[in-house]
Amino acid sequence: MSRNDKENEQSSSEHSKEPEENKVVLYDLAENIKRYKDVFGEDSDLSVRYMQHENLKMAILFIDSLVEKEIMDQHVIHVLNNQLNDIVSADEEIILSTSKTKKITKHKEVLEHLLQGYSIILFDGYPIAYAAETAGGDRRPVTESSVETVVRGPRESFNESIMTNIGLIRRRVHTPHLQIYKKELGKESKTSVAVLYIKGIAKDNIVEEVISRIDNISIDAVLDSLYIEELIEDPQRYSPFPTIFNSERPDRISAGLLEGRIAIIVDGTPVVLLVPATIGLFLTSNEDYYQRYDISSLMKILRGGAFVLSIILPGLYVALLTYHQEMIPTPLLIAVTGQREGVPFGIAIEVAIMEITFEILREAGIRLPKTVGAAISIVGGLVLGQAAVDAGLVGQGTVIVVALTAISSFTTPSYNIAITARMIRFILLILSSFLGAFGLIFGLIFLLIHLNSLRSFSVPYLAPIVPFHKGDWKDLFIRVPWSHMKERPEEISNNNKNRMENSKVNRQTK
Amino acid sequence: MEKTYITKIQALMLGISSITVTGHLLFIPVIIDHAGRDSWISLLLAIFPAILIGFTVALLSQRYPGRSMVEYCQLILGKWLGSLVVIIFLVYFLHEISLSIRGFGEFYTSAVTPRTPIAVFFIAILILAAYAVHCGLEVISRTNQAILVILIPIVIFATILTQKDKDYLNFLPILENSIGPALDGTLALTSLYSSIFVLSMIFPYVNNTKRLKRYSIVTMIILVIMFIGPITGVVAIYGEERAKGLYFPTFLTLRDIEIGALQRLDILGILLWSLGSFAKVALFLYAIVLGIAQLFKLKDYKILVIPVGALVSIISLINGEDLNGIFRFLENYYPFYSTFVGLILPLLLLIISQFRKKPGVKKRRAE
Repeated sequence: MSRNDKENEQSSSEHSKEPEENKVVLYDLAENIKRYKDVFGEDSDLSVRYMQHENLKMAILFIDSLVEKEIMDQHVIHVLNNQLNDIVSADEEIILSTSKTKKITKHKEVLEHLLQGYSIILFDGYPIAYAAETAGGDRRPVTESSVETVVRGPRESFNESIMTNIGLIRRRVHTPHLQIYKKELGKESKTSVAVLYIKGIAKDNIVEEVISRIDNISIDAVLDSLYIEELIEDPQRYSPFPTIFNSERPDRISAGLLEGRIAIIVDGTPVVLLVPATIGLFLTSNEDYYQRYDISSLMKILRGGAFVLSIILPGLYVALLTYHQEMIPTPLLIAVTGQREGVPFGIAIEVAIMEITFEILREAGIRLPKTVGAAISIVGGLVLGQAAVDAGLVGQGTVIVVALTAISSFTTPSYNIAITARMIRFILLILSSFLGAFGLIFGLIFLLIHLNSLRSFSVPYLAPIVPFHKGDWKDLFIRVPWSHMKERPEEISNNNKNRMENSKVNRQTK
Repeated sequence: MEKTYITKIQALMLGISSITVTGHLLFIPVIIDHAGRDSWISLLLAIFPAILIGFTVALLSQRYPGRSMVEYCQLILGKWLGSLVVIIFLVYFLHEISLSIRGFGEFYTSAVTPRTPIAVFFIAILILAAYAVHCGLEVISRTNQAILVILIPIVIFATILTQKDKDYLNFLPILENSIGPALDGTLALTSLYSSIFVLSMIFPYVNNTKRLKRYSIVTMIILVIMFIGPITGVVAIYGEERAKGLYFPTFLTLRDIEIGALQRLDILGILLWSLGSFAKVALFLYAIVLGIAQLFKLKDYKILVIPVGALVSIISLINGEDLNGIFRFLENYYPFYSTFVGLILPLLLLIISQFRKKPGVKKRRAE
């Protein structure tokens, strides 16, 4: 390769307005480096380290904040120094001891690799660059999840690094059928997003749908998986109900993958998405599968009941006490109304005030630093609750109802459907304060129609209940022992339903 | 127009819940008024017309697969006469829905919340039905499926709990006034079951119409079984004399349940009739709206939902002066009118279609 022949071409093409994509790495080292410094700014964290051996000038470019210094020193600079004598020209393949080494020629590629934490080795007089993977920098270690806690079961949770997260799943699901579709999203942020599914278990049309919806995203930055969630949701996105599940726990996501669901991992957030999601998924805790079946069945029933309570209890209380006193047994009615003697507000107002107070308390509890958090419970529980009753502003019955509702809502395993329940609770409260029991039932029928109209990636939201699939009831309100759960969920995995060798599907085919 | 498909069972479930609930609410007093303590004989005799109705509806839909009542009427009777018959059916549906809404509203205003104006209930249930119809047939049938899952346990529960109050000696003597009153009761029941003809608007969207006749006949038998409990129960608990004077006897039986700490189960009754009335109103509203859209060859039925809903609420207001008026109508005129439109007319259609060589069907197959 004769250098001088092409240099003129290069420099002339430099001045013409060429599109960004076509720019290539230049021959001249100094010009090259100047170009990158122009891109990043003179005083940025772009570091350049020069090396020279006889006539061969080299430079190593890297972004300080993205690389792991130790890998840099040992596997790039140290190795290069040792090889310096052997390197005569850059045309030969240089041998680095980093895990990934690439030969690149495009200007744009250089920028991309730099921003991913690669270090770029440039040579004076050659239009080539080597990119060596040195990505690193400080990441939160894999710790126990503070949001989804369990008594028994795996404790690891995802962290912010997509590679760590994929690894956590791969370490649980050792099958080669685990497929990964990776894509960069966000014009500015260039966030990596990975779609994971198990080929042969996930439904192909759902996988295609997920990938095509992700491909259609056009946004400037993706900072959390919620961005993706809202952008790929089904058309009825104005529903308070989440149709995409999320979790921080690799065991949960792996279980979902094995049922035929599809996971979406976004770099920079520990929250991984899982689709398609049906309502049962939101009311299931991963611990249901780690405790014995009898206990977890009872817990599931309890939790389901608590979820219903957390939606209807305030409304029911208001409806009964305002419109249908005759339905309450007389001794109970006397007890409840007796305490309310002298309370200045109507029941609906009273319950609404207490509910709103509680919501304020809860929000304050989340925003406050943990050390101050304890103060909130004292102020909230003792001062507001006790004092309000003592002062005769609210009845004790109301406080009990509000507290029971609140505690019930804490049993919901998934945070985002618990929020939905909070919103619906207020709507039902208003309806039943206007129309009594009929208002409550009106709200519930409306909710039922709405839930039936929802779909998550073409899977009906209320899936095993309506449309009715008998087999999936084994894991809905109760959980049967593992020896009886032989098939995967009906609507979600269609291709390969048998979990166990002697399942019904298998027997039929034989 | 609609591309969604439902299963046979879902379609028939719609029929079951819509007929059962308004039947229990409005028709039990009518039947007891007619037949008194012989109501159970009326019910037994009603099996035959009920099966005939189920058979007719299913056979018509099977003979014209993929075509609704509006379309096959025009194929059988020709364009103008067919349209006239379609309009009769649609008016019948409109009347039927307004009656059940009225009954539902009257139930609330007289038995639960007397001070609320009746229009509130009309509007509320029509909002629900309109929302469901707007979401499409699939949502209606799935919601109904979920509703039945709630309804059936309540019904069984209520039957068991009222067992101890029942005295079957109240049925004696049998056929004191000869068979006449019992036959009147049968006619009333037949007229009630005739409204299952509304399914002729739904059957075209059933994904698999094989053995539809058998399913539909089984449905009618289930419907008959569903009425055994309330009809015999009311007479057995209250005796003929008292049962005749009650407006909502089935609700009262629920209300009178008292076992240990369990008492005053009104809320179950309210739940039962709200859910069931919703299912019926949604199904009929869908049928009317779709029927009008097909009759006038509109592309989308959804724009019709709100105007028809408003019309229905007004018709239910002017339906009768009060609950007594409604009952009088149901007792004296409705049996003949509903049996004619829901049973005789479809039978005539079936007979005529037997003689006509089904040109439309052949043409369709050739396509």
